[in-house]
Amino acid sequence: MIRPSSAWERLQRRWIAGDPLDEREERERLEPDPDELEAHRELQFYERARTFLDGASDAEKRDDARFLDRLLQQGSSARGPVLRLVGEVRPAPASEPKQDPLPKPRFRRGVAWLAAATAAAAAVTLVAGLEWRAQPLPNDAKRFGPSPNAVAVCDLASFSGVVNVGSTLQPSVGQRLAEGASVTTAAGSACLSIGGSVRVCLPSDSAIVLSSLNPKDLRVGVTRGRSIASLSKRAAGSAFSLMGNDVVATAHGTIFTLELRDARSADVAVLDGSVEVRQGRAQALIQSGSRARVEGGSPFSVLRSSDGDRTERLSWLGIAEPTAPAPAQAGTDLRSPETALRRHEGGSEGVSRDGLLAAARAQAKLGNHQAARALYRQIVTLYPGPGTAGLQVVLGNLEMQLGSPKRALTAFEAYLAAGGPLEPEALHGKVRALRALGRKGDERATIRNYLERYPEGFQAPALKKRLADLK
Amino acid sequence: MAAPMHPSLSEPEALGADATPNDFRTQRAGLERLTSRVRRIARLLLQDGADADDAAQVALLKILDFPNLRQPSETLEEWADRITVGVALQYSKRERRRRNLLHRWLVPGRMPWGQDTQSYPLEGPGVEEAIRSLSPPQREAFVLRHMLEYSVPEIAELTQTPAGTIKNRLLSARKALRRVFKTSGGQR
Repeated sequence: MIRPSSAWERLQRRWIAGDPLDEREERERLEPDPDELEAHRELQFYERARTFLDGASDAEKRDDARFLDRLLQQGSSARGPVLRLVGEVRPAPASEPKQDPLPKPRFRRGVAWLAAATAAAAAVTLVAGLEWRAQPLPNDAKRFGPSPNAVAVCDLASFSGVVNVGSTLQPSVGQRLAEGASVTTAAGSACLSIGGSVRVCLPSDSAIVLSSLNPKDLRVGVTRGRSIASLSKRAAGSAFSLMGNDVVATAHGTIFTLELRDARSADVAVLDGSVEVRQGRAQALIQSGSRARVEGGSPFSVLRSSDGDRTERLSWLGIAEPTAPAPAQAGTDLRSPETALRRHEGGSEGVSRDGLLAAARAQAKLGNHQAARALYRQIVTLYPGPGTAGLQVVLGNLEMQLGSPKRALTAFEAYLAAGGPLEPEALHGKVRALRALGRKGDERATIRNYLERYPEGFQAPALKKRLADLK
Repeated sequence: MAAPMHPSLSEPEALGADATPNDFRTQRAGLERLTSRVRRIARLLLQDGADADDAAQVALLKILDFPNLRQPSETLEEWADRITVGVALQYSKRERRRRNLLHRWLVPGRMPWGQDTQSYPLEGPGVEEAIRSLSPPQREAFVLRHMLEYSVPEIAELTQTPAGTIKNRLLSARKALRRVFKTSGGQR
């Protein structure tokens, strides 16, 4: 026991609080009495903490190497790094004992490590089972047996028309669904919320089975028709997949769809983010704005729509482009994937500006910045004018947060061109964007502009300092 | 503050003022050297594993993007520490703000994040776990003072907190750690 009044205790307290010790005091602090075991233990701990950052275990080094591989996309441009924040799966330690004697399915490497221990049996059953999709749903549910340790909460978030949840013909919003449960739509649509971070929607004439509610490896089997998934950011180490006809689409992104075409083929279309598609040994990473057709035994064919070709992308969601562009005042955005998803969610024919704004704010509050950005872009594109001008500043800030200074600059400049009460914020945002782009001359000019117009502005002191640094 | 000593000081600099921005191999070599350290700092400062990985990525990208911001007197590790601490503290603030927001309007049990932090088999078991037992402000102060060896005034500036508060946090962190030592039977 350390005596509170002991000399060592007093010195240690001073050292902890950052007070200077002279050489003699420091020596005394590092050499407590031999019987003061707690003091020795404490000193050892602080010493280990001091050197903690200098070492890494072998397992950690391997993990760091994988982390770095993901960060630097080998073979891409020299600048290269691309963030992959969603759906990454960290392998379990090599020494982790296998709990399942069944042969391991050919998962992608990362998924296999984590999923193997708990979900191998379910995965084998699922992948095999999907080939028999013509079987009635109750049998599907039996084959898609629950995996151990399922904890993710899944409930029916919304539905319209004729929807069956398992054997329930009259489902209710908020109804809890267990692993292995099936959802079937006839002349209706339904959306499920899984674990709070994944939204899966079914249009009419579709069916799914909740294959795994293991939060580390959420899987939904598509047994008929089409299913659309929208993901917000989830913790590292959790994966989400749609599966059907032996095709597994694992999300790295936020909005994608898997549609069964016939007994042997499926289409995977990616609206936002990227998705890893596997069938047997073949695999490909499908990027945003692309669609992969996966047919048994033949290589993937990947189609990419041109950036502006929304009609094509819409057709992937099963929604026809209106013959005439919908007027902005109608409050209907049939051309956006988000609205397409919302149509399935609520069965409504579109979302108003206020609806989009509420959705964007909700996504931003949830920290789902990519989805928020997409929604804000929709709003300022569809409803240009003074009512939405301020959103350009919000959008610019979001672009900066997401590491897109060029786009941020465009947004801030768009606001400044029209002018308004948020000009100081827009100017400051422009300075940050120019700084991130390395355009020092323009940055200097913008700072001067700010300081001339707002010498007492909130950002003025920091900008003065920055201007001095630039000189 | 005692100048941080890094065993890698004598090694040739792999990244920084001399690095060619477009030289992929140089970038990779430099990042390989820093990744463990950057990730450990981010994990120590942030509760959420996903946020820690995000912060580590952002910090590494900043290191890649702005080699010219490194001061001549700084070692590669000191420079990386400075950037990582800045990024992680920003994330930490956001984390707290987000948690407060969520508590107000999200239904309990429906949190879209906040899964348990990934744990790693680390050398010297005990240090990270003990630090995780501290409250976020205590942890921040402890990591910055005793692991990164910043002075109290520097920590006060970084966290925009009075120096006296930092001292209190360091002392209360010590108390909390001593409780952990007792309950673990001195195995740390």
